[in-house]
Amino acid sequence: MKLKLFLIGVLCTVLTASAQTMKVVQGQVTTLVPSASVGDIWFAEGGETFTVQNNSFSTATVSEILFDRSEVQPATLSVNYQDGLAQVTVSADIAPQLAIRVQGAHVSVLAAADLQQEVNYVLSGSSANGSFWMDGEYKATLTLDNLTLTNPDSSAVCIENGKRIAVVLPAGTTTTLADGTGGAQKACFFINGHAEFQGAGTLNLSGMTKHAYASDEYTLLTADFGQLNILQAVSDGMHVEQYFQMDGGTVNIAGTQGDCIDVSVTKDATDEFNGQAFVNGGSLSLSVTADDVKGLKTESNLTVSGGSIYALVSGLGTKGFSVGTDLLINQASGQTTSISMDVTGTTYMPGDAVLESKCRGIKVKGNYIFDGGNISMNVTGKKAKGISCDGTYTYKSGTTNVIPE
Amino acid sequence: MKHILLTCLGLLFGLGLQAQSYDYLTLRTLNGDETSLGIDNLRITFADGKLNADNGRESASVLLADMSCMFFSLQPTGIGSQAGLTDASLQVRIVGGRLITNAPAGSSIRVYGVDGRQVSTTRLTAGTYLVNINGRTFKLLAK
Repeated sequence: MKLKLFLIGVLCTVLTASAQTMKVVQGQVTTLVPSASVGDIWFAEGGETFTVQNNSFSTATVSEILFDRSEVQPATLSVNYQDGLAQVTVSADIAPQLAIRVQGAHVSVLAAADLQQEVNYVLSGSSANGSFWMDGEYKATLTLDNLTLTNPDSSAVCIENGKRIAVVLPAGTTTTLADGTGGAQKACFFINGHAEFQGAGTLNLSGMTKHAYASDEYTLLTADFGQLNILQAVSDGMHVEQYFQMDGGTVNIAGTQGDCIDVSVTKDATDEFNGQAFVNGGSLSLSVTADDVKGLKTESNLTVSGGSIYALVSGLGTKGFSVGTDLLINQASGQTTSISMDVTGTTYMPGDAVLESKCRGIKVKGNYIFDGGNISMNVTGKKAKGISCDGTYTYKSGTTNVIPE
Repeated sequence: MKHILLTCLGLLFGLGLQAQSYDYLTLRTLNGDETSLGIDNLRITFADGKLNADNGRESASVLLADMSCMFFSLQPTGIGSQAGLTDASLQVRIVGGRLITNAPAGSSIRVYGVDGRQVSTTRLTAGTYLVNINGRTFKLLAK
């Protein structure tokens, strides 16, 4: 078996080593052309242009063409940030359908409407004055590979593409994004479509103008997800429309002036699970310290079927959970549900008929069903309460321990 | 055992694929002249209306207006002239099984058979040969 694996390894090495790549360099953008896919590279217009794999280049704008034995990943655009510059490399198979602009370390990519394959955008390196903006009409993958990026003027990463965006954090990597103060951006990291986070790496976000993270459609953290740390936000830590689903990973949110996680409905009332949140696994830590904000706020239902949730609810008028309609807490098969909170806040704007808000561990505007798991709360704030339900409370199973009762 | 044999066959197949490695880039002009350069460390730039190629061992410079195309190739496939005369400054031919050239002393001269193997410059039997002199490659016929 060992010999077999060795031989397979040798074979892979041999095949990898056999690749040849032509690199057409135009300023900060390099187009990668694998030799295996190239036919004749024709010159035209008296040698002023040449064309390779549907990419037409002007010899006046080509800095150089380099050749080596590296391998080209198809359908991939990579950005490597190096202080005030960004170097972009793009595989030739998709380059004709991507409009790429680079100014210093600010990169924008507009994918053509007729692009019908998924592009992997891989971001790495470091810049204190850079950004990445992308739009398109086909689903895409965004790989954050040890990226440290701050944009003093707007979002650090802004994905206007409204389709499914797979956000990959490779294992062992840490990506840190921050934006600047006083901008007009919605978030430091914004995704217009629906986002699916995967990979065992770590993502740190700071939102200095508004939200740290925002998506205009659902956000899903897959079971193999690593860690998301919201370090600070002028408004919400995570502002998610349609629904939020956490199947695994670790999410730590602190330093927000708005809600830690705010899930709101989209403009299309027919959207699936609109305004809901699901916690099916993982570890969620919410530090609810600002006044009159929520740890996990949903405009519609909240379902907790697994995972471990801790909330420090210390601001005036704060809530650990604020559920717009119904709350279901249970334990899915093979899962353990554990919710613990320290509720130390008191009333916000007491006596104000409009603005008064009381501190609660869990506030449910609809019905509440408890069918498994463990809830423990330590309530010490003046006039604070552990759980408040405006609708019907149904107990089926599980343990609730609120001190004092 | 059978699995190991199959793996070995796969390995041999892989090595066969490697043999298809495109180790050369060939520049072809509008009049059909071809010059091949090894791709390792090859760099092409455009300046003063010329294409300049250099890999540290071989170099070539072609007027852009004369360029037809370039392509990857398995072997140096340069064609200077079937008769053996290439250009005004560099002449090469095979006479009586020997390579004759006016290349300067100390020039890098290598002769390959069509199978890609390097051969002697002095005992060339009838057949087709690829001759690389200082980075320029010529296809010659020995009678």
